[in-house]
Amino acid sequence: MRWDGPQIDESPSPHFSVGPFNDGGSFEQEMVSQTEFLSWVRMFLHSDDKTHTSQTGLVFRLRDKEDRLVRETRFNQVLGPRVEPVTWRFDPVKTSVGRTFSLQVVVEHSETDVYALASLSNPLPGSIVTNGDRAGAHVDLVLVPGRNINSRLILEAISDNVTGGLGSIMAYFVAIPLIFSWGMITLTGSVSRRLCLCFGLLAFGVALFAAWSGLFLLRNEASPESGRFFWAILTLVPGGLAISPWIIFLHLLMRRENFVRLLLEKKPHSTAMTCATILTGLAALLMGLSSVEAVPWQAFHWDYMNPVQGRIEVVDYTTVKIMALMALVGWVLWGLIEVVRFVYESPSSE
Amino acid sequence: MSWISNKTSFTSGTLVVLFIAAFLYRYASLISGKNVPWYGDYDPGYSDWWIWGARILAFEANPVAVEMRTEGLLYVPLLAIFIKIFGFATAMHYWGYMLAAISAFLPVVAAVTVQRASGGLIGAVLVGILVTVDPVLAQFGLNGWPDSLTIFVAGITLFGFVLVIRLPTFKRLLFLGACLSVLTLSHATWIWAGFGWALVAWLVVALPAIRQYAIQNEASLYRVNGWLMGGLPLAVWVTTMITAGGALTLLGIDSGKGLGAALAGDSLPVMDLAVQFGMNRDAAESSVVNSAQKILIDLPARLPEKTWSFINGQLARSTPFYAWILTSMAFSAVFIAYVNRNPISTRKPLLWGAAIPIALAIVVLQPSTLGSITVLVTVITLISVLVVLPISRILIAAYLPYAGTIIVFSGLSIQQRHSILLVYLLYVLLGVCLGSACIAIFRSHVLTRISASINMRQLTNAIVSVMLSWLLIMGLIGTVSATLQKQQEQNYLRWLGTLMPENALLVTAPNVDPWEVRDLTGRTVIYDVGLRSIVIPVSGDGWFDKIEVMAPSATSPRTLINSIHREGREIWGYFPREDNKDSFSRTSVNSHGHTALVKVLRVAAYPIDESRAAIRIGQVVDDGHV
Repeated sequence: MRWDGPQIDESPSPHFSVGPFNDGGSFEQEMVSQTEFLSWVRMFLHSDDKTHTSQTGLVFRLRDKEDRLVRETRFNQVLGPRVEPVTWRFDPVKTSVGRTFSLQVVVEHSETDVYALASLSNPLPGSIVTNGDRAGAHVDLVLVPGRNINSRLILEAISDNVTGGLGSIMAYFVAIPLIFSWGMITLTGSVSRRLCLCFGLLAFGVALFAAWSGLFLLRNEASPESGRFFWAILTLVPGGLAISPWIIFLHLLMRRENFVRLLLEKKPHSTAMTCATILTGLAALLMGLSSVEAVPWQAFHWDYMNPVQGRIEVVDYTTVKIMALMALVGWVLWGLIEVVRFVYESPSSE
Repeated sequence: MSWISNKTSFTSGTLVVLFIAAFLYRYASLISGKNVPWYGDYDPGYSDWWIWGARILAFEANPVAVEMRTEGLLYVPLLAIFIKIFGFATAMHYWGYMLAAISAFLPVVAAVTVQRASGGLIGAVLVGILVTVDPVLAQFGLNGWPDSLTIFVAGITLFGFVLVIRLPTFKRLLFLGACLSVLTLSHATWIWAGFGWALVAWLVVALPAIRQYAIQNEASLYRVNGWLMGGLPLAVWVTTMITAGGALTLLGIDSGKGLGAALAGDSLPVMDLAVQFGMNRDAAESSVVNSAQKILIDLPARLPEKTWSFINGQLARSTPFYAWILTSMAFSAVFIAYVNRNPISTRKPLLWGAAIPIALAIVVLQPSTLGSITVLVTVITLISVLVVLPISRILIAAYLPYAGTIIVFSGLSIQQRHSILLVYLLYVLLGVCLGSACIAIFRSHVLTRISASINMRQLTNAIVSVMLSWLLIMGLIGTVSATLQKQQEQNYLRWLGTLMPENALLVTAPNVDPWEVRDLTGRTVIYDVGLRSIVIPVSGDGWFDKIEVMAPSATSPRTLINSIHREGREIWGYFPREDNKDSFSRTSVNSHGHTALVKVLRVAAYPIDESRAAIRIGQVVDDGHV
């Protein structure tokens, strides 16, 4: 699985060519990364070589805002009178959205003059610099940045767009089967372990398929992870499946006798309490695996009296918070069930 | 006392070893000068106030520091008795040993409390270890403040309360009433919290259903004579308060320091809290009633924020391994819920039990509290323990009046250090959780499924032995290390005495034994306790609480030091933790409410350890610090 697509939805309109660039000539342009990874840039060049046979040596340099060299490559390209897209691919640069780079292209050797397409619609910051001369602010190189990332980087890109990161994604893929199988058990009244496993695997498979579908269908989009459609595919289908038994269950609950029977026989309060205690334990464990929070003041103002905490920083706060909130919800749910039991349960049930 | 323990000799032996190990810990801390009863480094000069009050009472029969509305009502007379019997310097040393013994007894009390509440020895010993090694409890145990007495009596009271929960007999109720009375008198600024605990005790005794849930494994519940008997602790408490107040009146103590003043409380923190809640200071100071009204109206909305501040800034910071303690409690709750799943799931629903998580969720679902994972995890762990372990509800309910007072007024009238009472409760809850979880696991035969040869009693004893051995070894290492260090310091002081001129004065750091310094150097000691410098003359039992006696005409540290120098007397320094540092070039001297920075001169290298030197105090560099 790879995501390969431009960072921008539409290429800027070309208006004219800048040049000519001979041996040693160069052009530069600032650009802004629109997504998290930058792994190629595409520009549009042509030359006076009507035979379309000679090799033009080009040097590509990518610098960051602090003028540090990020990537550099040399390669030869056959150019002719017709405008051709020239794509420079490089190892993905881990960037944050909005980070500014400067692209420099040097014509190392060329038998004829080389030209680059430029736009007047000012799609990029700054302006094109040709052979050291800066053009007007509205004149930019026609440039398309893009990214081509593998599965690991896709996961990283997605994680960085989720509150709680990878922990949340994992929690999601654990929660969906749990919620679904719990709902099916509650609905059917079966406590067979094999059936539980089947339900869980089914929901897990659906969640995986939904995720894969989203990743695959949008693989050539500019930035799927920041679009609503991608997240809708990822969450709505598995989420709908997970809560479906609960919806049916709630429908059945509308009949009071069913409700009372459920309270007496299925013991949802016991299940809720078990889940809540486990989630609480996990939240406390994760808290131990996160760093100590910064607070505006400390308990004791002399150093040796602030005792050792022994916390290991491998989990971020958001993951802990999500787990803690899930536990809190679990406890509230348990409390509500207890209240309902208190109201509905008949004394004869004791 | 058959109602305290009739368990096996192993349990008794465990508690004895726990006491010895804890005493070694405290003793090491005492002789190394880390925590001593004549100096408290959290609030420098605070110990000296109580020492001064006890001296005045012992030598001049002046009860100026004996007052019910503060903390000295019991502590000062007790210290005064020591001083009267043994003389001042000897009394302070004996007092230190006594505090070490008392504070070493606290881990035993905590362990017995947990053992009685949960029936488990592993949790009990773990809590004993935690109470022993907790740095704040160690400091509290030896720092010479009335708080050391308060935390000890609070521990005993909790133990008495657990006994009452289990089996509320007449003797136990009487014992609890006496403990509550002593606890209140030891820190009478919290008189209403003591009253609240007595009320909770009444409810617990009067409503057997509460106890029935708390002690699920009790074979039979002894029921005392209903409502009337449940009020016995409160009756003892009220009688003691009236008696103490009357005694103070008979002794001619100022009426502003008696029972009435204690009951009225301190108006200053009430006004400060009202101002903190947005009231105009002039309006707050003009009427305490208006301030109280403002607090009552605003407190519900402010309570989450206060709770956030307390948990995140205080409780989680002053408790070692806080997150791991919560983790242990939470997973203990998982085990208890799992093993007891059938009895719990079929029990009758309790509305008030269900209200616990809902109420806590309402408290925690505030922007201020949601921002902190520490607060969130603390709250859900608390919910988990409260739901799964019914006895925890009663223990927390008993502490609620104290907890509420500390949370609301912490940082105003109540200094943050008092949160140690709640840290102690946290340890006890951890022990009860862990003990109950161990028992639940053992009874569920989960371990025997792994191996049929596992003997639960032997396993428990082995775990307990390992834990205690570790504590004992650490205590021994600490004591030996502190003793060797003390011998080195004694040699250094003898050498220093040979260098100093006969009429020289010696300024010391606070964490030392100033009488020993005086005896080994043979010079008058200026003992710097932070806010002031105390003079200990070269001979006699003197303790002049102001260095100003050395030069009555002086008006600042600079003129004081210059005056002493003009008399031809040199001032030397003894700073055991500083004088081997090359960067040590300045120190401070306190007088007239100011702190002066003075230049330090290295006179001669110490032959045995050349990194150390004999220090002489030079010119004042800066005396502008108030």
